[in-house]
Amino acid sequence: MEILSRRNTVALLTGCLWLTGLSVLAQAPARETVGMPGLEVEVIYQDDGTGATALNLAQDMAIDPLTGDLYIAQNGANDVIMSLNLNTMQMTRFGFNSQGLAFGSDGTLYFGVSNFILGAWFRDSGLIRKFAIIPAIRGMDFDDTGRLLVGEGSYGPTGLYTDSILEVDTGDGFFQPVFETSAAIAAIGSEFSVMTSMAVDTAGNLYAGYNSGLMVKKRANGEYTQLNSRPIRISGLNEFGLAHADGLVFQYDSASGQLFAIDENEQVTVLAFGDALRGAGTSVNGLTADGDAVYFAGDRNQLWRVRAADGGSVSQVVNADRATGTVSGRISVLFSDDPLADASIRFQTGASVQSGPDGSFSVDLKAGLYEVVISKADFADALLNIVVNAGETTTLDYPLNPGLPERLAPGLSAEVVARYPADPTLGTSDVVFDNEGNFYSMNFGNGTVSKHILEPETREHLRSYVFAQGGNLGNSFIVAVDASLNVYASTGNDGVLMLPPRGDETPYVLTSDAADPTIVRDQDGVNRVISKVRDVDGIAVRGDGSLVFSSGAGGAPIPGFPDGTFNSLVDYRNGVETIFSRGVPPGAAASVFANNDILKIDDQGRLMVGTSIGNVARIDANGVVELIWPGDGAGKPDGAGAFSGLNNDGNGNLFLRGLTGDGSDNTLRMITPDGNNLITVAAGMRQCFGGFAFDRAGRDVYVSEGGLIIRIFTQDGRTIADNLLDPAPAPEPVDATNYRKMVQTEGFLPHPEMN
Amino acid sequence: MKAVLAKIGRFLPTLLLGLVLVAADEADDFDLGNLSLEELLDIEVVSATRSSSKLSESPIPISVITAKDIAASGADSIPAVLSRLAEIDVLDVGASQSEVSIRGKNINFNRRLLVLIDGRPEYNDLFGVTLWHAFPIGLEDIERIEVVRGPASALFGANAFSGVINIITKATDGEQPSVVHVAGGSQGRQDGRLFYRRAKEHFGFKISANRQTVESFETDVPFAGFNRLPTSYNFNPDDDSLDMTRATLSFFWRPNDRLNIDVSAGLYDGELELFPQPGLPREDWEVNGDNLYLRLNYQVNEGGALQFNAYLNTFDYETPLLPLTEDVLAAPDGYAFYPSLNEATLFNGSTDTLNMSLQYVGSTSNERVNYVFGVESRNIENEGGLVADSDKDINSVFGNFTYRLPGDKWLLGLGVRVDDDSITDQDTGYTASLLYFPNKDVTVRLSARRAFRAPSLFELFSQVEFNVPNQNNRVRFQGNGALEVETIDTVDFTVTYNIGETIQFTGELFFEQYADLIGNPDSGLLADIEFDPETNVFTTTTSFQNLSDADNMGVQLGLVWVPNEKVSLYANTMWLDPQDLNDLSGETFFSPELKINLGVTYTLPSGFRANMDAHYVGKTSEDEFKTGDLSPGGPNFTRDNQESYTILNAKIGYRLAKVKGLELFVAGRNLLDDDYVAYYEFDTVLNATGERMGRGVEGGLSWKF
Repeated sequence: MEILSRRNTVALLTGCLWLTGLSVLAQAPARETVGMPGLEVEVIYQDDGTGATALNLAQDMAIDPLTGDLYIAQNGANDVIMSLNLNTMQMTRFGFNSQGLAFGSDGTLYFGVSNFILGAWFRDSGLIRKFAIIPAIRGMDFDDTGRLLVGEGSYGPTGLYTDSILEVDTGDGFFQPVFETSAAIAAIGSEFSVMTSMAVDTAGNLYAGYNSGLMVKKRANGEYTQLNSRPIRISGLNEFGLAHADGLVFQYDSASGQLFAIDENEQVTVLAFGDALRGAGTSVNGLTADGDAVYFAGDRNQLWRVRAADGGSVSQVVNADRATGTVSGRISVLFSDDPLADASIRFQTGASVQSGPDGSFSVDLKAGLYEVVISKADFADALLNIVVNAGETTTLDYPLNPGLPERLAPGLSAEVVARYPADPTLGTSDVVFDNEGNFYSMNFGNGTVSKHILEPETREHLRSYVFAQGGNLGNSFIVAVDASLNVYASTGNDGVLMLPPRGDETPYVLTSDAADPTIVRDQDGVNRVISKVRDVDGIAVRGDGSLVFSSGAGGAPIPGFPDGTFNSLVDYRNGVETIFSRGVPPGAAASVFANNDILKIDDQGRLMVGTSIGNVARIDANGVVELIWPGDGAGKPDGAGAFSGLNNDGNGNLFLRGLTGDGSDNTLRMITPDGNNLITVAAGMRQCFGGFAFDRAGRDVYVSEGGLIIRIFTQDGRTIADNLLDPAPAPEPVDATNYRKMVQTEGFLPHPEMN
Repeated sequence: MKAVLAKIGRFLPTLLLGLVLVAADEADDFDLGNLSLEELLDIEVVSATRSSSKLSESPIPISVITAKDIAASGADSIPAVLSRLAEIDVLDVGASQSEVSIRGKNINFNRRLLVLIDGRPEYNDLFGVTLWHAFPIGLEDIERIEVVRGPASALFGANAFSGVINIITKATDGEQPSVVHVAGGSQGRQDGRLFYRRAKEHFGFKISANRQTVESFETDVPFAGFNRLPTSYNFNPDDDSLDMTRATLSFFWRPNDRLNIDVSAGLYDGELELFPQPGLPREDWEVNGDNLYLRLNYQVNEGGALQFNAYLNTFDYETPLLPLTEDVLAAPDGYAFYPSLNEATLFNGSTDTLNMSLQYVGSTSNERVNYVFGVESRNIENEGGLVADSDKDINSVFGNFTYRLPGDKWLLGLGVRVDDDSITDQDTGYTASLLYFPNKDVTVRLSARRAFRAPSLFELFSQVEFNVPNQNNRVRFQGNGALEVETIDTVDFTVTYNIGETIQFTGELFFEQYADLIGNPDSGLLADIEFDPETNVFTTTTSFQNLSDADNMGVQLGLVWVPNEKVSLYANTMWLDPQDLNDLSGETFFSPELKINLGVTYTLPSGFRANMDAHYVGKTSEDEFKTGDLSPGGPNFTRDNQESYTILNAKIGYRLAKVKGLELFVAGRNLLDDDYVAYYEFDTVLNATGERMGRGVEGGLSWKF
């Protein structure tokens, strides 16, 4: 256990290191933690996260009014409440699973017991007992009049008032809702649920945090309003913490690494930001405050404290008069130098400005820390932190991303080819080219197959249209096309469709038979199912026109396959089906298929298949199986990621798409010709899965990316593989930029079969 | 059996009318007057020594209520009759549930009182409680009620803890008339009673039959507690609260001068609405009980008799216990925390008690020495229901004697009994007393007693689980086979002073000390709760434990004035000062700090007779409710909500001159309509139980013939 007195944060921002540009592959270096002028931000305790009293995943905190000890509610591998004596920094174990903590003025401690009930520790009698049966507690607080307010979420057991703030009678344990999400939804007009934190301020205003990052305030007069909601998420969630003291509501957003204070006029102030404040794997955190300091901790085994540098209160620093500084800069389009006009640059205080025709903007702000959101339609919002110093100008030049990967290999560029809703590409999961140079996309978001027409020579995208819809295509993730332009897809998990080319652009309208899902008819009444092989998430078309189906773990006995087709490749020739491979390499006892998924074929007729555990296998024309990339990356520099997407560029190079081994990024990478390394084509993509297809002999790759289909291309006319193997010179770093960029994972889309 | 009883109930009015018509000609007149003070003092009681002795020479404190008191009172139940005594506490929980205790410490389902009918226990061996409205006799069959103030295990063994109430029925060959009683009144009250007897020289019989229905008050009274639920909320609100048929048929045979044989068979069958515990909704209980009772008395010689008693008590019950979860979920907001069962379930069980005793009753030294000694054996078996199949055996030896010293100024009394209980091993009760008679008008008595209560089968072997909708909570009642007996040690000092020939004053000071009281420990301690993250359900377990020691001191004062045969008055009061009764026991005992009873009966020559009685019941000292709450420093539901109340009852009867023995009457109960909830729990989750008992009116006729 290490007790830190180190103050690793400066009170005034001078000499900070800043993040370099975005157009290179290097990840942003970890940022120092920055505190608002006049505040000290420091780690006051940390350990290695092991042992009975280790600081683990904090979920709430409270300060004992009688002893000054800090109690930390934790839930995770180390389910304890701990008392941290702030004078001696000694951690002791209290002994119960906990979520939510609050001390009454008499020293009675109220706490959530796991997901089950509200418990209480009665100081005088020593009783530790259930107090009220409120499950799924997510935060609690006393208001200044002594009312106990408890947030009840909707994880775990179902209580009487899910997603509500309850007022609990400390005399008899009776509770009743004083804040109901249904009423907040009705007032605000948008859908949200799963309350994860709460606070109450001096005036009796109630604050509720939701796991989507939304914060709703119920004013004392009963009005609901949305306030400082959080767009950054970890694993799709933002479960920021809330606390109140001395006229300020504190909000710790560990998904973005920021600590806010909100005053009773709903003015939002950034107290601190930094990558060290970000959660490593979750946005859950604990937070509390008294008049002198704010304490908070996430999942990094560190306890932080923010307090006034001059020994005063935090609120005095927040409310102090500060002179102004200037923020100015230029907004451009990512991977180009085109200026972006009419982009909105908005600050957490509510101040905002728009970029002019040349992309430039300028605005004066009070000195302090700011969260900036730069946005424009069809571009991904950028969330940044900046520091404004009194009397100084902070330059903010920023390239806004229209939806492309955040980072590309040198020599590559990217553009959006098709964008929903202008094009029928909702939730694209696969793309495949036909022999006429056009391509199809599977859009599982709305269960359609689209065809995209490109100009034969320039490859300009001319138009897109829906080729087929209905027939349970919403549960199909793949599309294939043969030399005769027959299009193949699976119908749910119940079989494989073949859709011959139509004479015009009238879409197929498919309908599954209500009694037999293996029958899917088009609008002419023709059943388009050619195979009842189940759970087909990969289809390959051989050069001879025969098909191979990748039947995953959902395979089942069907006529002709009493033992089922699960975890196998099924050969389909002229309507006759046989097992082509069960994925057992020569000499091996076990199959390398494990819910095998995407399936592609190369020019040598070799099949390549990805699996749920990231195994990538190659099966030659004779059915010999070779594990060419193990899912766990054993013996390789990295794993390939679950449900890896894969394809070859027609030049013998195999590309993989998926998560990095540590799950931190979505990438498209190429296996080097020697089969031992991965070279990144693109990173910072929205999806970790999905199909991609090469065009122009490997110079372009079209990638399914949610509502977009993007094209990554080389700038020098060489193939992508050549660019990767012989990289172009790296561009000069973008000018030093005075901002901290928050990793935007809002649109992260996991594979549908991922847990 | 049920079909037979139902038929009896259906034809009871016709049967009663027929018997009246047949018997009317033979009816004796009935003396409406009161017992004189001398008659009162000469009453022979059997509860003091297990043999007949004068009330005035009882070695332990005993009160007596006579048949005339009962007839005059207008009461329609035995608890209502008993409430005239200062030492008696009655909690009217519901129309079909009354709890009676002696010297405070009353509780929902009081398990610390032994109630006998002619020496045969009505104490329910399964639950340890007394179902007062399910006795197999009617009020007209009661000759007197003997109330032993304080413990009496030396005489009656286990469970004679806070006292004994021994209901002595009328002799089969007695002189008092047969009776038909028909009444109706508020709350759907219907009451038909018959007492009929006939005897020849060596043989006789009597029958006591009764059918009674009463509806609940159905008064919704919400409380500021965790549940915010009315105490009377009922998931079956259309049912009668009390619907009971009772009957006992008794025979005697005296084949010769030495041998008396009495045989009786009794039954009750019907429906009670019981509140299992505070916080739980009342629910219907179908109960029926049978008993067969044999008493042999063989006069060995002039100085002694051999007595053999044997009885078989059977108790059957059937109850859903709790409502269905779906009904709870469909109930209005505020009722959603009721415990419930997921599937329709009827708990039905049966408990049989077989008891045999043999005792020798004798006297010597010119009857200065009276003694009783004997043995007793009891077997209790339970099958099914809320309690696991189980049984227990108790074998006892006992002895009791009194010695009136020469000069007749002093009397010594000693008694001891040892029970060998198959669960709790050997337990001993004793009585030691000294009486002093300074003159014919004054009696001074000092007694010391020890008694014990054995845990009931429910406390030992219960096995019930239910869930609480919307709370992800299962509640388990789990018996504790390791329970020990509770004990009570008492010292009493009593002075009786006859002031002239018409006034009797009684003053009594007592101190009681309790050890190992059994109660429900706090089941909400987190360390004891089972959390199941797989099912997201947590389970609390209630298991009775020997928890606490406590004591209780009290003063009782009583005055009876019988100026003449037409008028009698009584006034009595009790002051109690319990200590720690509610500290640790996990149960809430009620021991009113002050209680005052007043009553007068006046018979007019015109044929009218009036009776009025008033009862003030104070609160238990607030000091008794200081800990054990959800929040020890915070509010305590009992302390904050318990109520004192005053009940005024009156009855006016009119004897029709033209029809011999016929009296018309109207009786009013709680005329001041001082409605109250009798029982509160300390725990604000459970908060209170029972109904608010409002005003009641009844009228009818009573025909003695």
